[in-house]
Amino acid sequence: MTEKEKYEKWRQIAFSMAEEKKNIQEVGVERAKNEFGIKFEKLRLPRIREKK
Amino acid sequence: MNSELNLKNLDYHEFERKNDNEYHFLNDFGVLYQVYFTLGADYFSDVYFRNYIKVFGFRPISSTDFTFDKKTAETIIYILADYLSQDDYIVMYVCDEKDKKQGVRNRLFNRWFKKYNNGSFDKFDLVFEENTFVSSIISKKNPFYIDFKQSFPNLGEEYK
Repeated sequence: MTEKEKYEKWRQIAFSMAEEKKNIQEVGVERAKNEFGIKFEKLRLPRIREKK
Repeated sequence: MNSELNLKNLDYHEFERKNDNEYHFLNDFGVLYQVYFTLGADYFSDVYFRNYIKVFGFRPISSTDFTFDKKTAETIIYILADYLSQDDYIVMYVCDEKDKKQGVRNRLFNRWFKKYNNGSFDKFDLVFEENTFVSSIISKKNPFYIDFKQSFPNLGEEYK
């Protein structure tokens, strides 16, 4: 892949990510899943905080 | 595991998982925050480590005010670092373009990275059309580090 092709690939990724971000920021995670089909990571439960 | 950050030094709010896909925490100003990760694989269909690429984001959900005090910042950093410690993940983010303040947010995240990174992580930044800021955080020990780094263009004069 040439440098120009890499650049163009990243440009497309950046704009797509920005659009996805805009949708999530506007409607939140639950609606973004349903309305835009955005896939979210399943998160683990927070660990219990260790005492200092 | 990748993360070598000393998370015990961070002063963070307790947070909880909601609906499997969100973490929530309440800061000292009474603002409830939502933190999430989306799957980045679809952006990198031709990359063999695509399933390790995630996209990070957060938003206030009880207010429109993005007020950051130190503890709010350290809670977000803790969640991000804890996530990175779980596997060989590469975490990307794009700065929110709301209010046209993406440049301000980019500078804030840069300050956070410099302050909290102990040298074990790298961050790759790209800016497109002076408006869209995208960054990637990866451990220098990540097995995909070299291949990921090589996916970036060498930005010369022709791209400016």
